[in-house]
Amino acid sequence: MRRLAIVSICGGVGRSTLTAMLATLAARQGRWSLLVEWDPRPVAAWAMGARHGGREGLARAALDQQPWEAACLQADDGTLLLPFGRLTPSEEAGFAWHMAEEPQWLARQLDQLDAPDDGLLFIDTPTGPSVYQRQAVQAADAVLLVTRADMVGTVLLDQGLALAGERPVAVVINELDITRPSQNDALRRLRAVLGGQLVPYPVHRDEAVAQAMALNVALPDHAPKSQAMHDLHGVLAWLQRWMPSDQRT
Amino acid sequence: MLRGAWDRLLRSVKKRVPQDQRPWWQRVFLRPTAAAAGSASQPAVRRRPARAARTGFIDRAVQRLGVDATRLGQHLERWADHGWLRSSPVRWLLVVAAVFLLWATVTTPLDWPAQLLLFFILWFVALVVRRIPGHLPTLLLIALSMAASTRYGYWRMTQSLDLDAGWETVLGWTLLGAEIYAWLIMVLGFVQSIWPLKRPTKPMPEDRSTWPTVDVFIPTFHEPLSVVEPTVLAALGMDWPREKLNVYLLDDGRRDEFHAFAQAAGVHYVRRPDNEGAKAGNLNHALGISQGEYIAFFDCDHMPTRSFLTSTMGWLVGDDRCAMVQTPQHFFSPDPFERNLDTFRRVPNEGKLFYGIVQDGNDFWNAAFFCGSCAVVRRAPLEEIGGVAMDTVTEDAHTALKLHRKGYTTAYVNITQAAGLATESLSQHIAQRTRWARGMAQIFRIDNPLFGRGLTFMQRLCYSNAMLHFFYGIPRLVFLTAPLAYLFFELHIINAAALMILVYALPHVVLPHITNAHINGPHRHTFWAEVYETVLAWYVALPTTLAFLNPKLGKFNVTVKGGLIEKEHFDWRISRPYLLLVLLNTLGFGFGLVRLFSWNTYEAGTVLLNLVWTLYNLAMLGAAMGVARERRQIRTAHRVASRLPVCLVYPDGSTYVTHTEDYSLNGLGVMAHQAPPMQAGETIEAVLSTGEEEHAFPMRVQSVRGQQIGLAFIDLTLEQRKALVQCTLARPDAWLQWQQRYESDHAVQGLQEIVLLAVQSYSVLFQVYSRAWSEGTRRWVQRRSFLARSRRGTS
Repeated sequence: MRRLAIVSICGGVGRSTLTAMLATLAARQGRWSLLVEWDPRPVAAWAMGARHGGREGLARAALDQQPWEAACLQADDGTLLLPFGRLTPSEEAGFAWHMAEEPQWLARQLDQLDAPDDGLLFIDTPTGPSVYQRQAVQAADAVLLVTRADMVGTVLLDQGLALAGERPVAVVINELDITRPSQNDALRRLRAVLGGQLVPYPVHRDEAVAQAMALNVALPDHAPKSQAMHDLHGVLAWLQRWMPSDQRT
Repeated sequence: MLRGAWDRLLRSVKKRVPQDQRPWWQRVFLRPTAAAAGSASQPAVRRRPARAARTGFIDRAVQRLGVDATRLGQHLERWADHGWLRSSPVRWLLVVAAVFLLWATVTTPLDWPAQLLLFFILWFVALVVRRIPGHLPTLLLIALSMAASTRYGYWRMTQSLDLDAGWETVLGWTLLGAEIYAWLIMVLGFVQSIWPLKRPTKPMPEDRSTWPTVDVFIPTFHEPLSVVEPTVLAALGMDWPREKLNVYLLDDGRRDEFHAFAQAAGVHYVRRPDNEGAKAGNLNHALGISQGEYIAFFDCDHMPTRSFLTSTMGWLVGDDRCAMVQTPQHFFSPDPFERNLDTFRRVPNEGKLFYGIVQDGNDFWNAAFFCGSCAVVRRAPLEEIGGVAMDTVTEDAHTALKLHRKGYTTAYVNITQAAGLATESLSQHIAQRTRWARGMAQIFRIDNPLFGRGLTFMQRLCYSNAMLHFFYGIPRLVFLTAPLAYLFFELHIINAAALMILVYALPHVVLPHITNAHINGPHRHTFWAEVYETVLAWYVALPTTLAFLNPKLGKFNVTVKGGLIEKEHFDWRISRPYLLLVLLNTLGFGFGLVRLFSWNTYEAGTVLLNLVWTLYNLAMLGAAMGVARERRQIRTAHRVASRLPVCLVYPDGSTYVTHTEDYSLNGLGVMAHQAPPMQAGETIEAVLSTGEEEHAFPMRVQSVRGQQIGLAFIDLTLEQRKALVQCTLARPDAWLQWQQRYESDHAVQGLQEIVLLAVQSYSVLFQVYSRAWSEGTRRWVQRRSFLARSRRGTS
């Protein structure tokens, strides 16, 4: 099982949605695929289709001293989802304090998983540096930084790369709108700066993603020939070639 | 009521089946042309079902003999690399043995059964050797062909020249002269292409700051802006440091819209006060006002790919003595042969032999010459020889000759990095080829490569071959009319028994064909060379002779590019010489039949031989006339059939990823299996990629035909047009797949196709004449009856 932590330095770049789509695509290709929503804001779970989510989740189970395997959900195409769980703000603050005290907590939990060697584990994190992000990076084999091809993305690039710590990091561009010259320029600049670290398949802005989300249909079912699907295939294939194998076994 | 029902039935049937108006015997035997089938809007590329590869009986025989061709080839290569073959006495011994063997082969007389047996042995050996891969089998085939042809030549010169005085001698020696010319060209051709160099690209140094400055010259005279603009935009997009690339638009037409375009695009606009020296003068004028260390030349319609400079400059930068790098000139639109004979992308066109094999062979001997376009030249040597040569109308070859005389080397990189428009009509094509022929004859006269200093022996041979090639006019005409000497006048211009002629000539004809097919393979299909030469023979005969006798005769006539053929017509003016030859040959055939059955039954063999020769001539002439039948061109921008990935973006933001079937600078043809339905008139955006960057283009849906959608670009800005050129024609891989679509060369099928083409041409001719005849007769009858009536009226 190879673990990928997905981070972002600016908000609203579509990180959670992208993570959910990658996990779905990996499951469609026949792999064991788990999405761990390590983010108090439940966007990834909602993007995966868990619309009427209950309170269960990884953090909820930890706080309630319950086994968290029971909180795992499975979509009908085989994608596994481990939501964060519903926490009140004070519970959340306390949980974050606990996580700061135990930086290896998530890694220990995930080590207990029994998964095949070619399985993929995606860990979604909140925006920017946070205790959850640090835990996820600790637990992962590689880090994927999601950014947009705009001014903020280029300005904050170094800080974004720093989020990955010592883990190998790749950068993927999301919601690319090539009709805007500023985005084309930013893309060129990022390519020049990052070289082989940039995933060569930027994910284009595509209305089909929002449509699929609104209809609560997986994107491969809703628009299999769309540009976004085409890009996601490329990104997933590139990640599978690039990600280092599991160092722990 | 019944009749009404019958009419309705007929109408419904006729609507489904395209109207084929030809007479029944044509419909049975000949396939419909695009025009006859009523589909004038057919795309330029018609794909035929691929012929399955058949293992001929030769292959099976080879297998049964237990010969593994590939292993044998490897054995031969290893054997040739042995050290003892390199020692001098061994080589001299081999040369002496070879000369003796050749003398024995050529001069030993044989009676006809033995000669026939020899032919069959040689033929079988050649067919077997052909299948062994590697280079040594090619040399072996060349040796066999030269031996067979020389044997024929010896027999011809010693046994068949016992001619009566008078016309027989004159015509006999003329035929012999034509045959000697053909033999000379064959030998020079073999020697020239004996080892194609196939030079790879040499990479430029890593440090781009050391790269030199390059000027790009794009001369234009009266071509429209729509033809020149993509070339300028493609040149601007070449991968080279921006500050070291200068594009010059050399406008001899002194047009203001070109000036405005140059300013908008950011290129230099050069206008000179006169048109002295035509294109060469234009280039020399620009040479004087620019400073780049290297100069890239492009004709105004030859669009370079992005990687043109990075693929070619490597050889120039690394070697001080290298003065020029030439690349192939490729045409993405069909030339008159390809369009009118429907061979586009199935059979290699006339120019492919030159750029595919001949220049590669020249490169081995350091004799690759400049072709005027798609090349880069170093400035210093060019200025040393006084700029582009202005003494002849083929200024390019003459310039290269002068460079070679000064001791510089040239290079040929056989990777297509630019493409342009072919000549639009047969008359333009002939005008262009005539100009080349005239120019080459002029150079042969005023700066003969066989004499003068500075050239190596092989360079002299290569240049002479290139120039002598253009003298094929008169020999070809001789071959087309030679059998008539016997059929009309009973002159035995080859004074030998028909049987002997047959058995001696067979190896001479068959073996060089096999060898040429082996060497030229993908670049020229068998028998098509005859068609190309037949079409041009009449027109190059006179100019080359005149230019050879007096080089100052002949003005530069510019080749027109970018015209449009309005409607299908038969170019009568151009075909008059062919018609004359067809008439003569048909009469000869008639005479021959009479001779066969009553006058000359005692020498039936001779009559038969001449009849077969006449039939062959008629087939070639028929195919030549097929070229004069100009097909209608309906598009203003030529389409290129190519698969490019494209993403269609709908107005609501959703997308669909697919590929193009073809593209042009006006629009795209896109495959859309499961796309959301579109209707004509809708606007969408299409996203194309240059390979590294993506660009979106606004488009309108023009037509929806099943799964194929036709889109047209809407009002592109200059920046968008530049991006479009980079996404389509200027991609480094744009032309690399072209060769793969050619059908493989099957001699018999090629001949069959040419014969069918000839039959088609003759039937069209017959139709036109019979229609004209009946029209004429009708008018004559009308006039007579009118006159009779008026006489009755007055009386």
